[in-house]
Amino acid sequence: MSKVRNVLFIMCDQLRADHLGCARHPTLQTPNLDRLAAQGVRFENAFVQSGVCGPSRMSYYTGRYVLSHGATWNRVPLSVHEWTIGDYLKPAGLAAVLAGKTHMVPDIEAMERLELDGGSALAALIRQGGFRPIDRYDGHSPPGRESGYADYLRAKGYVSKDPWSDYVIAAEGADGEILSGWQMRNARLPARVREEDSETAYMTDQAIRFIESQGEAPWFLHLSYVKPHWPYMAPAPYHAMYGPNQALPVNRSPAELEDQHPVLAAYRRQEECVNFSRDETIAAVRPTYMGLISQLDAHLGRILALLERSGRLADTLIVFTSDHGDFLGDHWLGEKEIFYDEAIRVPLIIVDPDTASAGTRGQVDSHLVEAIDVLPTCLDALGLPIPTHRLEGRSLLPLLRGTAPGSWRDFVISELDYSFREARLILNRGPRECRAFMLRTERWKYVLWQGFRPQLFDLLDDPFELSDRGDDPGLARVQAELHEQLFAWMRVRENRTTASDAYVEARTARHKDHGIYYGVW
Amino acid sequence: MPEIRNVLFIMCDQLRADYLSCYGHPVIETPNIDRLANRGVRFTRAFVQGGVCGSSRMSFYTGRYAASHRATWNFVPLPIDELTLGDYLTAAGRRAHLIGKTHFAPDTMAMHRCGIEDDSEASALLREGGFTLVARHEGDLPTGKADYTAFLRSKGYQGQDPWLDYAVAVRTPDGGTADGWHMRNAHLPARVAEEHSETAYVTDTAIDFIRRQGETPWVLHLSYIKPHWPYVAPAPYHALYRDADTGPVLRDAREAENEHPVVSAYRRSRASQTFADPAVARHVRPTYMGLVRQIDTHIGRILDLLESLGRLKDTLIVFTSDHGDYLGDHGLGEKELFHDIIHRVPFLLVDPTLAADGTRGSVDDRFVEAIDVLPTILDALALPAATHRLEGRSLLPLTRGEATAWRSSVVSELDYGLKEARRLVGLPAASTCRAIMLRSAEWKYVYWHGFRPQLFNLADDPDEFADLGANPRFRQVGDRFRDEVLDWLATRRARATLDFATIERRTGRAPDGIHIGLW
Repeated sequence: MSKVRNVLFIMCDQLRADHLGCARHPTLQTPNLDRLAAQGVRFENAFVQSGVCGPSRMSYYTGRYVLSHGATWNRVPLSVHEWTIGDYLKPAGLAAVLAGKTHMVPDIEAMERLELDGGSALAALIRQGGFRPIDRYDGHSPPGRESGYADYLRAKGYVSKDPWSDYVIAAEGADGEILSGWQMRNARLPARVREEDSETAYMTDQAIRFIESQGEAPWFLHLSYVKPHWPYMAPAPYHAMYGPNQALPVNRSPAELEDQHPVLAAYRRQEECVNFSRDETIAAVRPTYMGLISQLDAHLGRILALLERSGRLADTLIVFTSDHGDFLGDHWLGEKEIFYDEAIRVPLIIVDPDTASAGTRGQVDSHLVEAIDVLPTCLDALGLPIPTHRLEGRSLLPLLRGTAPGSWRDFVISELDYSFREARLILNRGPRECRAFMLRTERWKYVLWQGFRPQLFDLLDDPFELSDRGDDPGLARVQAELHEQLFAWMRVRENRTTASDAYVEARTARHKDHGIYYGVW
Repeated sequence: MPEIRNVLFIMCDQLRADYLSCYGHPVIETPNIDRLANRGVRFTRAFVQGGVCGSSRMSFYTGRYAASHRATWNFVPLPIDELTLGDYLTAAGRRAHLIGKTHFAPDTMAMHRCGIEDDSEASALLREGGFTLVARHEGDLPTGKADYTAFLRSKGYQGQDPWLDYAVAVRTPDGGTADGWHMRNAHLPARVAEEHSETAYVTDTAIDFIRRQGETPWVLHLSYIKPHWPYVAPAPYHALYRDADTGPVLRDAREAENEHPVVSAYRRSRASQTFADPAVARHVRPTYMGLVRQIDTHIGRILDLLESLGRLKDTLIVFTSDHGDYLGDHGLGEKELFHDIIHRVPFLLVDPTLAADGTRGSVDDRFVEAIDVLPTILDALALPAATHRLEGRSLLPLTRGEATAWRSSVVSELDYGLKEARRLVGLPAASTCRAIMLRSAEWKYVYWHGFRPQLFNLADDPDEFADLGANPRFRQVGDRFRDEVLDWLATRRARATLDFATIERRTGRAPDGIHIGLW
């Protein structure tokens, strides 16, 4: 019997896997995350199913690949047919409580067709992707009514119709003029908001209040921070905690711009990539990005202290991860989406309080792990069933508890639909012609682009992915093998989602039970 | 005002394309179905998206491949987020009326999850796959038996299950009763009178419906359960072809060489074992032929009615089937596997508009898929095409002789997870038991997950006897199709919650107030 009664599922937004102290970042200080890693297991090969918020998160929440859940990019509604964490927790009487961001967009058209309108509790739940929000805040826009943050700010004396734009992502110039955090040139300046009133502090407060209010009642909390995602603006003192010389070296090479893959060439023409290919952008943004992470770490420390104080560390499964990374100028790119590890490899630390995991505490695990594994891991820890006709990930508990089966997956998958990006227009393609599938093994990374040549990286010889061997005839065989694996993957998606395995078993060749006797003589 | 006001979408169940006179059957006469062919276009290469009722019909009704609609076999509920013909029509203020069979299984778990009340209008549509019922009749399935049972009772047929006791039971020469489920009894007449048989009942109901509609436009899915088993025909149809030539039973020694494991498992099913004896095929086929002839007679009644009401000039008519029937060919009974006998179906399209006058009575050998029916109906009624969901294409450019680039292959799928064959090949329920067929004019390639592919050269081997799938000489051909299958899988319309216009509008534009990457 597992000791796990509660789950704390923490997500950061746009946090790279290599930006943690415990992941050997040479200067970044994250003592609380390091502590978490020491208490649990840090997975150093954890990958998201898409390098952009919406589809990546929908994979976390549904436990399914993007090809299966269909919400292929930001603001593509998640089909009303898809189950999310909340549906799976229901049998245990648990709600999936949300503080922060989900990027969930409901399938309003279907809800109307199903007459799921009005103010019913059920409609509200489905609109929120199965979460029960205590404070929903998707970030990078002025908070709406679903969050208390704007009112909170005004109550704290930030007098404005839009205190977020005027204080949280704003700084002051030398003459007291307001400078916007949207402009990356201002990234080194301190936000006008006080640290204790910043987004990270506010959402931590919500989580602490919720955990305290639960007392001894079990809970599942998705604490989902909007940082260190842009706008890159940190409150003092974090804005000045690091300097450009403390940032990781920029991972790019002039050779990458020769014989570029057409889709990458198109991405590199988009504004964020043009700007991030400038040294001054990188020098301005990276220290602030690091400061935002140290700030997050400090607030996680508050949560961990509460859990310790209240005895909850002993019965709470903690998952810490991110929805994707951030190029910050690597590969001549800004933002994310493209399949380099900087964008699709994420931090993943899991603390299982059960004594069965005592033997793995503090270990670094190098198994290939996917975002879709988080949901089955949580269900497994809570002793709930894992419906394999829907869920495409695997519970990580066997890895945590040292009872790993002999075989594990030997590749991870990530996907991209760039239909919504300017890159599509640059390439003059239709909205149905912009899919890509990445298959990454320990050694190889293969990307199949619809309508373009594939990409191929040898991660053994070229761990920084600076040399695209996609048109190297010498690697044709390798490519064919990876192509074959990708094909096999695509063929086994869990699409028969309305029939459980037990249903299939019970109905196999049982027509006679139903009075049907075809083929008898 | 569009010229087409009504749609009559006729489906037969388990009707082979080659069992109609307009498709060249040397013995059966189907003058009324031939009338349809003369009025419209006869498609010689129309293929279904699954060789079994449930998944094939869901492709007809959703306009999507089985990989997309996910109801991969019989009794797999159609996911609640799929839209059907009825849903598209309802959104436009119209209805899709149903008389007969759909094989639709509702996604009751999702309905429950969404809190849909049993007595709501949404619930009524969701339970019937978007159709508005006039009468549902599924033959063997308990879900659709009530209307016909009540009809039989009203005509004096008594007992617990008059369908079983009269429509499926036969009269023996000594005046006794025998069970029509047993194919040995296929030569005997049904106990039900012809005018009360399933085919007559469904037709009567349709005639009544069309009359009652008067000048109100309608879309009717008239869906016959026959000539699907039980192979029992009422007199006189049971005896019409008893002594006729039933054609060759297709078998070839090459089929036993290198038999594909899944095909082999299907050959071990009871239906195939029974049909493996050519005498069984010759015993059953006359009854099957009689049932086809009976349907033809009743379709004649419908056409006469449409003519007398003036409805032929404003009604689009589709005539097709959900799949074929092996009837002993290839040592198989039933259906599902990928031979043309199963996947190629009759397909007649009567477009009443002037624009289609030039193609009347013509034969078109371009590839048609079952998923084309829904876009064709929407096109005919001038309704939006929903291309982000619909994977088929309107056929009206073909009936109207408009130049258009067309597909060069068709796709069909099989999920044998609910078949005994799954156990025979040693796979558990949780495994992937899928196959994808790609058929071009010259080749048929079947990708079997976990097994070698099948490959047939249709130019040299139209009867599909020689499976080249394991032959290294054809490796390259197979590889080419394999890539096409992968490409096909990668491009399914999975992003079904957003239309292309919205995508176009949002492309390259962040929501208001978001300024990514600004220096």
